[in-house]
Amino acid sequence: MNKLSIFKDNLKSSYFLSSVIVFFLTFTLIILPLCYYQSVEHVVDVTIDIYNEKTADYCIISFDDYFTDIENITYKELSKTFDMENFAGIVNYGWYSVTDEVGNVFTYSYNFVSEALVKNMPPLDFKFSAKMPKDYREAYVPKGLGESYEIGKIYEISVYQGIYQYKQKIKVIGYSGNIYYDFDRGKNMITDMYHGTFSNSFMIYDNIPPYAKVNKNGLMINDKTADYYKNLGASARSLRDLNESYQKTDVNDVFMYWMAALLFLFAVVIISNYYFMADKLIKRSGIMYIYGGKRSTIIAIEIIKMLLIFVFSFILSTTVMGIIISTAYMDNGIFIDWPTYLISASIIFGIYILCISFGFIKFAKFKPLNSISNNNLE
Amino acid sequence: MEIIKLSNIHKKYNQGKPNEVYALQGVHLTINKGDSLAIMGVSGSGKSTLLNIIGCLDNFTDGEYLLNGENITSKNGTELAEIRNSIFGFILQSYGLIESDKVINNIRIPLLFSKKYKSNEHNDRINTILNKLKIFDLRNTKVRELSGGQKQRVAIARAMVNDPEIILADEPTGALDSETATNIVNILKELQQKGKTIIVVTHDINVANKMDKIIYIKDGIISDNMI
Repeated sequence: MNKLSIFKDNLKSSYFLSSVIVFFLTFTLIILPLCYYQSVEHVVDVTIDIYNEKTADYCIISFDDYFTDIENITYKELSKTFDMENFAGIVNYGWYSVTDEVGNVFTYSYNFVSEALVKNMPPLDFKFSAKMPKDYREAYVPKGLGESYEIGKIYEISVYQGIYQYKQKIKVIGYSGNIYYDFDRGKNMITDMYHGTFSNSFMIYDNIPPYAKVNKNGLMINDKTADYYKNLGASARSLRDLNESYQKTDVNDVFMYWMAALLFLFAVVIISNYYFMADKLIKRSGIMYIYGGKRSTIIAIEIIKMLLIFVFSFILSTTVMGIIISTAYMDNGIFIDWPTYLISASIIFGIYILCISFGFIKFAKFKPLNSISNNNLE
Repeated sequence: MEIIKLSNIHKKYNQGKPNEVYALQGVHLTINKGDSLAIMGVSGSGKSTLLNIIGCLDNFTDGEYLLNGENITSKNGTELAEIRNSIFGFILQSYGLIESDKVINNIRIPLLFSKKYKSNEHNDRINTILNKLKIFDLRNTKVRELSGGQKQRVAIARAMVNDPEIILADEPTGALDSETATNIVNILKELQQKGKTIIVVTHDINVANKMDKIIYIKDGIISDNMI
């Protein structure tokens, strides 16, 4: 008995049903994990770059809500309410424009790096001296101004903010454009969080001028809680809380309803198709039995076919899922992963077995003589 | 030479239950190789049960069945399946064909289980049978597109494809007009002339009269053997 021939004959006789099941199974194996991922909280293997045991209790603070007119949030004003000596951040204070020979205008920003940042955080690519020199301030200047500012030399620059313009001597210790702290990045970037580059900026390590506008986020390096700053009117969250929130995906109940609907549809399609198809299978199997087929062989081949249908659909969907996962990581952040896919595939496999069991039991109980009596077979 | 010998065959359905039915009651029947036999009887008389027992499609409650001298009772499921495939060719009531499938695929079914013919011989074997029955041109036609006579030829081709010793036909002319029925009976007679044993269950006395022997069954008992 050529079992492969019998298998091929079985598959050929049920190719339409098999195709429908493969199509719908593959579709479900792709869509359900996507819904499942959005419906269930997941731990994501991402940690905020600056997060460690020492920084965990520091508060990320934003003054956006403190004043309705954000343009008027000055360092001096904030200092009345907040302990700004603990504010680790980088504050913009004016602009510097250069026009070249052909009339192109290049604009650079003046940024002040706070003392709390330099003294308490790892230096990364900016190596300021912890103690400010008496006669000048250390600064990194934009690379584009490399011809005008030589490393090691001291220059007098005019730092200005309207009527608050003043002169300052800076010693160039490097060129900006390297990695340093950028707390604003944490608002929308998941990877490389809180690190950024300041390529067109003067980075000056100095006391923040009283009238500097503080419209950026920062880190409060002290033992105050987030609630303390919230009570003062700022938005605040401990780095620990923030880190944990990054490590969990958002849960979306809408996807759970879609998932439930999809599973219901899946069950209905598989049960109805296979259950009604069982009649045709029974009649064909009856003929096979009469012409020398063994019940056990016919039934075993049917089981193998149904399992192979799942395996084939699984391989198809795994291929598609591989593309989705690799693309998702590159373009949109994480919204599906392999463990979720495999959990979903296991759930679908269980439901698939349950659904086909209705038709299969009907088929497996076939009585050859009854199946062919007075019937031409479709 | 005896090819089939049934001794005191009993068959009960739903044995031991309130709805127990006695389908065969002590049937004795001997059929020689190359014979043609018609089994007649009213509906429910047990003639199809007898045919199914002869064809090893159904078991019996009591008695002895010798096929080519071998006791069938001692055979297991695998051996019975092999016997059905190699010794018997079944022509089923109302053709028993798969209407949505092509002629060639219907005829191929017995070969799927055959030990007599290897896979690479299947097409040649099918073509030979199709030519013999003059339906070669229909090999790729779907069964549902055929006439009644053509369908019965396909059913006969399927029964013959594995070169069985015994052809069992259940109402082979039941759904055919008289001319087509005559043609089908002639085909069966030709098969007999080539050494096949033919056993036909029929209601049609004209068909039965073409066979060498006729037996009548009534209430599970052969009422008048060897007429």
